[in-house]
Amino acid sequence: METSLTRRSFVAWGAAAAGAATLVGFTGCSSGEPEKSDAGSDGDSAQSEVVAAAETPLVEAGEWLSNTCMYNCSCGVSRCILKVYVEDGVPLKIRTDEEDEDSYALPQRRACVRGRAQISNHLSPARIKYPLKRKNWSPDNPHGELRGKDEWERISWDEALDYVAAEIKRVVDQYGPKGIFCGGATPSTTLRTYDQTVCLLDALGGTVHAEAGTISYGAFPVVDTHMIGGFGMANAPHPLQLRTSELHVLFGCNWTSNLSGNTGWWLNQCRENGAKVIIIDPWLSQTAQVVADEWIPVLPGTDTALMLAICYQWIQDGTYDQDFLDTYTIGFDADHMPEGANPQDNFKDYVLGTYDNEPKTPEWAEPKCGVPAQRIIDLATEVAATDKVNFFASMTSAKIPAGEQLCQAFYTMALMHGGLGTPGHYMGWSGIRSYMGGTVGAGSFSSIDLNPVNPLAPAGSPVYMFYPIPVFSKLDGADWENMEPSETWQSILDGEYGRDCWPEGKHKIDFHAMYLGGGRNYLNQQPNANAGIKAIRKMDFVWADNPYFDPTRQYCDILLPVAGFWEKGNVAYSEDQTVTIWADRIMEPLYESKTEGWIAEELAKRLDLDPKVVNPLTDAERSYVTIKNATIMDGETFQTSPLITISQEEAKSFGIDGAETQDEGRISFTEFKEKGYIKYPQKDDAFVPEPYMAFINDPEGSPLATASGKFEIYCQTLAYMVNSVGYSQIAPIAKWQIGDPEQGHGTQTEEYPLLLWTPHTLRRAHSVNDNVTSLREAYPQECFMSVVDAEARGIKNGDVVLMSSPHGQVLRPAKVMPTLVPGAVALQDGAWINIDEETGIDLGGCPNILQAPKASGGGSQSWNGTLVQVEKYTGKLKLGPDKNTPIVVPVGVEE
Amino acid sequence: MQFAFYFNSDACTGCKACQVACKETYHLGPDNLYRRVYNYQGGSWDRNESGTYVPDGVFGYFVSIACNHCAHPACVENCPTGAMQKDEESGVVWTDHEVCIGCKTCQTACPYGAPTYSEDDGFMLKCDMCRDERSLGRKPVCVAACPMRALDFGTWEELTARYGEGDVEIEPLPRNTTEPRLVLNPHRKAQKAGSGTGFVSNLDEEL
Repeated sequence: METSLTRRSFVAWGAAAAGAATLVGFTGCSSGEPEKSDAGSDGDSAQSEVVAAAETPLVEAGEWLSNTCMYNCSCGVSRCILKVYVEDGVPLKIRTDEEDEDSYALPQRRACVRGRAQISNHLSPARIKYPLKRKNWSPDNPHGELRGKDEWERISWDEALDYVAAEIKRVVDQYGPKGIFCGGATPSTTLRTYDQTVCLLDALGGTVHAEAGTISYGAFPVVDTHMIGGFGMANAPHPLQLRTSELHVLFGCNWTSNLSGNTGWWLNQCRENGAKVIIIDPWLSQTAQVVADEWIPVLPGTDTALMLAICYQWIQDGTYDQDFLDTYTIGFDADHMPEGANPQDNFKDYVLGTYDNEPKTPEWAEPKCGVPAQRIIDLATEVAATDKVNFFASMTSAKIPAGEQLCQAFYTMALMHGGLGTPGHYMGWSGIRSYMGGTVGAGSFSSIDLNPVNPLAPAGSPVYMFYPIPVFSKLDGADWENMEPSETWQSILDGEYGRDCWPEGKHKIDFHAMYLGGGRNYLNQQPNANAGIKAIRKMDFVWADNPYFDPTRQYCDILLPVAGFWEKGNVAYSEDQTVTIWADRIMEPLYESKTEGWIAEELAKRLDLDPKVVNPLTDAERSYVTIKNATIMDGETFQTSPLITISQEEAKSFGIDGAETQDEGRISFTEFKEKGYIKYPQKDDAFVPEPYMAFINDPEGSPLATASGKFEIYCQTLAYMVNSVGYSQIAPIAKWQIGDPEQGHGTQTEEYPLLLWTPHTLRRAHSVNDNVTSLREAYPQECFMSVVDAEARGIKNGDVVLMSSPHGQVLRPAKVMPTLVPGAVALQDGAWINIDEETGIDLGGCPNILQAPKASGGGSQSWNGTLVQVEKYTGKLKLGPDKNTPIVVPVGVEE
Repeated sequence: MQFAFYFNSDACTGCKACQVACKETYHLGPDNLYRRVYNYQGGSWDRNESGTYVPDGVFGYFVSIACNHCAHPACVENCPTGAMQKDEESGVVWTDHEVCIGCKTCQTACPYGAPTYSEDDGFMLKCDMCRDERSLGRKPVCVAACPMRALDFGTWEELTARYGEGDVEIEPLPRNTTEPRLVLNPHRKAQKAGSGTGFVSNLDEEL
């Protein structure tokens, strides 16, 4: 059922689509031609370092354009510069930011391995080339059971749009807006997650989303809101501040793989300049192999026990900052409890075991986290003896059942160490924050004010990522629907979601159609994907728009091909706010692909909606506002002003009548376009406000936005909010608990004795790029396991192993490593599902086949600590190298 | 003149931007690499009284390696047709595809396994230090790609003056028999070549 394309035919079809391209330069410089001794260099001094006098200069007949990757690779902390060489409309090679100044304060924005592979991604055989219909689907008889294994047929755009419009109308007429499940993102301000079909559905009365939860942030957002009074990731150190710490204590944080950009490079420079780095992680990660002075292996999901033991040791030794706690926090000890709380419920007495007779000693923690007691004591002693400490937690560490308790322990530990608000003292998560100094940012691609809103998501309903749980008091009986993502598929199968303790009890749901476009690979990226396949197969109709025939799209009925980011372009784009990149249009839309805006307008026409309502701006207008509304914020004065000067002539080039111009920017539009980007000119000696500085300087006058105005080590509102939603139960203080009886350390069984965690890989940005051969070669999708566990199972490096959980099975090669803690296995997130229909085994190695559908705490996902077993595979399935495995393409479509 | 690479193993996170930037620039097939990245790991675990495991001497580090454009290249010395040559002007070792018969002798002879055979073309391919890119004043693609700034390029004289001579005899690289023009700064946990204290953890399909 699969078709393999050779590298040459990739480009051949890409070239054909882009129109009459030659392939000059394609074979590059490995042509084998002799280096002619009669041709000299042009004598340019810049070239003398890299060119031998005899070497013949290359002739480049094409042009260098500018772009970037528009994927969610870094949680907003980086964005890289791609220079793309294009000849006759065909992108042929990529270079990056390699000529600018390259200093700590103002580094080059070098693209990571994924950026370097973008030509292969954009020209991939996984592209959906034409509107497609699943062969055995019809409005009268959907044959849902064939989704994912049916053949496909090419249809015209008119046919495809007619089918989609008719099905939307039928389902909405028959079942109302609640008959449609939307796996796409709620429209945001960035091109990256803006799909006008979602606007169209919102204009029709809305759809049910599953955004009442955070896939990325773990338990942090809700904890942050109540315990520290703001988003902790925005209070992580700026790069200039990172170097003021003497010691960096990182829980997880495989930054060179997870964040890319310059984050890991900055930290390595801190180390080279004398700071010490301790990384606590289940494996000696890529980052730790270079950046860590010390690695402390810990079992996945058990950091809370380790943190509590550190706190215990400090209390025993008297090596914590009591004055800081007394001034800036509540709840640490019985003397500082909030009114109405039982004084015995304070943190200190919990840690000491005053009332539960269980002191949280290093010996207590050892069997839980796997770190020897003496190692914990040494760590606690070293941290206490160091003044300026940067405590940093990965989001992953909080993606466990009742993960709030980890966040609480993490912050409590950092608060006990004290010093926050002054240089060198930090407690952060996600990534370091370049944008807390001066910024440059593009204007919004989509105006939230102009977009239709989803009537099923009224104020007070969960706010995706930032406050993902319902605030029932604010909803006040409003008609709302928004599912928790971890449980989505099981909820759909069950016909209800939520908890009995909700004011109206569980919410009933009854879907008949699914929209699985909207910038997400929803099936692949939510836990319990096998249940997802079942749920999808029950629908009358499933459709999507997307550039790629990825696993989610493989299970649809109608597919609408969307142009990739490089085929749209003509926008200013920024992500981390310290560089704004001009994205040229690299090539014309491939094959029959169209923009999301065009698709939504065409559907609107068929549904008697005003196209202007579903797509409020033209492409030209959107393009123009990204430039016109681009701003620079001065890091010293915090004054914001226009970034780009636009002349009448330049404004006209956008094709907008009477566009406003502006004359006070930092760079002209023409210069910006030519250079391809503008960076914030960060100075090495710039002042960046310390996180929490205002509060620390004046705790009375500038209180935190918490109930007490202070950091809340005992946080009643947090416990109340989390417990009222009922996914899990937490205490107002950090406590160690087994958050779920079937998940995490302490719940292993003979059948499933290993703890799974799912680190990111540079092969993908979540699931994007998994269709790229060079990345598949660089990063095989492996079952990472310890030498101890492998030996016990007779597994050798490279053996094919079967990974099983109660929810599914995947087949993968084992990577057996001494650098991974025994008792845990890792499978990297985002691999494309590829189910063998006969056995039900996933050959792609997607961890969501194994993941349990378990909502936790404040609507966070408990990815880590899923129980699995791994065994040497002896069945009949064959598994070749990922790089030689053909990319899945639609079966039955004639080329 | 002799061009050379510099590689700092103490800063390499094994991200393979070098490998993939090169591979994508030259549109190499799935089984051809001009540059590859090894992960060398070692150590063991002891079970302690509480039932948990404690690492004993566990280490890991990366080595990114392309053709080293050796002073005494074994590939050139063993090439039966004279296709493999060392350019006198630049010191770059390159293959004349008009002459190469694809016998793979060079690949076998090279202690670093640098030349790679193209099934499509029927001849050997290898790194030429991005001759065409350099002809326009640009650094080799791999060097400019490195997010950790662990790679550099220049003349052997420049690089040794800037970084010292380094040490190419670290695991998993072989002992120096060909005078590779690579200045390698070993990782702080690097193991001496031939010590066998660890192993290459990459799967075969990566290399």
